[in-house]
Amino acid sequence: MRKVLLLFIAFLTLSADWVEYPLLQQKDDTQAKIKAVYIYGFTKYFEWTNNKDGNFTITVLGENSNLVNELNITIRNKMVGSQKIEVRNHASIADIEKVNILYITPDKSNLLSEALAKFKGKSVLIITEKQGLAKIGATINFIVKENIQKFELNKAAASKAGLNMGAGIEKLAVSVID
Amino acid sequence: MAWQTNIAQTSKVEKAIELYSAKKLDSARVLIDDAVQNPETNKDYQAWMVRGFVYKELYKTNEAKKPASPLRDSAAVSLVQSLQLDTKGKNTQKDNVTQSLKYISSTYYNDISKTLDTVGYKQSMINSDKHKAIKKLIDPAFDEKKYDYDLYSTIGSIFEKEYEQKTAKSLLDLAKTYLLKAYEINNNTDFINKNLGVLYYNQAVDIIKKMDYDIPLDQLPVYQAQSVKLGQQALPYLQKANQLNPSDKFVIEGLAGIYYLLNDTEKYNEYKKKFEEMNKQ
Repeated sequence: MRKVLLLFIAFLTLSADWVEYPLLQQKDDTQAKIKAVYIYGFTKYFEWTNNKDGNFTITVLGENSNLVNELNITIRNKMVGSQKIEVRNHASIADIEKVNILYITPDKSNLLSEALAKFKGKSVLIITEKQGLAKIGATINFIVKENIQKFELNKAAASKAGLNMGAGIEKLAVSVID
Repeated sequence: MAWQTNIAQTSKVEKAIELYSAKKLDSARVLIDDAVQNPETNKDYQAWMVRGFVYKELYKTNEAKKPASPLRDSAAVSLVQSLQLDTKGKNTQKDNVTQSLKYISSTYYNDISKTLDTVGYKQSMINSDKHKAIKKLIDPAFDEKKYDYDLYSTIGSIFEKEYEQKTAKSLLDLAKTYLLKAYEINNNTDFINKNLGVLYYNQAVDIIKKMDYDIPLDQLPVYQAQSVKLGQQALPYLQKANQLNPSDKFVIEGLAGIYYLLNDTEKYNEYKKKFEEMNKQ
């Protein structure tokens, strides 16, 4: 979301010289940054048992250019193990060949089943953002609690996906599904 | 002997008038300063009036470009003193005294804006106090509360603007201090509500914006909580601004921003839609 600096004209009846003029300033998308920090942070809490060839790929499925941009800033000069990180953005599952973390935007949530089927056992961390999706197979599901972006964790889904969970991730989750 | 001294002092005032008329201001100053110090004439409205005129001319000649001018201060004090000593309204030149005070008042006023920035604002406030003191004396319709509101809200918005560029806490604190002072005087303007709302909102955004990309994930909710708290502080101000001026699209955009920050998707979409519709018009 753009941040707007709203400095408005002071309605001083005494002199126009005192007036401060409006200034419009565009800023970053705060929610995109929070998600990017979470997504990159998850690379420290999971182990990808296979899927270790080539670059470590984070894919955004759906439209969220701000998140893609924030992810690109977040991963700059960073590695997962010996893998260089890259960020991709696709509109359909069919376009995705290799992926380590798949973030599915809310408007593409209906593609979760397709993603689960395609990447079953291939060490793909699937992250969603819609109520109830952790229960039907997403390993991580972003939710909002008391105005704060948090996440649910599905341990069984992680295991099925071929991901080892590190210590501490359960404590960070707002709820854990076994 | 007393009457001789009295005559001598009166002569000094008369001589000062002559010197003033001849534009020998420095000499007039010496005599009239002496006269107003002397017990025989220090209650004489005419002596103070002459002193005011002399110092006003000295100010115009020597310190007209100085925002802090002792000569002007002396002129103002003298003319005010003259008005106050003329308890029976005997001064036939009262209109001239008032006109001179109006002139001096206008110079204080003009100098307020000359130094009105984050560095010189204290000088602006000094001149503002002097301007205000004269206005209260010569203008029965003068609205002191409105005057203070205008000054504080302007100073606050100047610091707010500077804070946006430099993000120093001292600037933020001063912005908040002066905007809240203005808010205490009048909380029913869209200007003060917008500025306070935006001040808190911008702080909320800055917390996330400045957050390190590598922070431990257990710290992320802490940052978010700080940001959300400021967003919640911003909300009532922008809601009030919106209530006072529903057609202000900047406020609508600000409200959309706050709801986005607060993860309130429904409200965010509502205000985003309103903003987009207003932009089409």
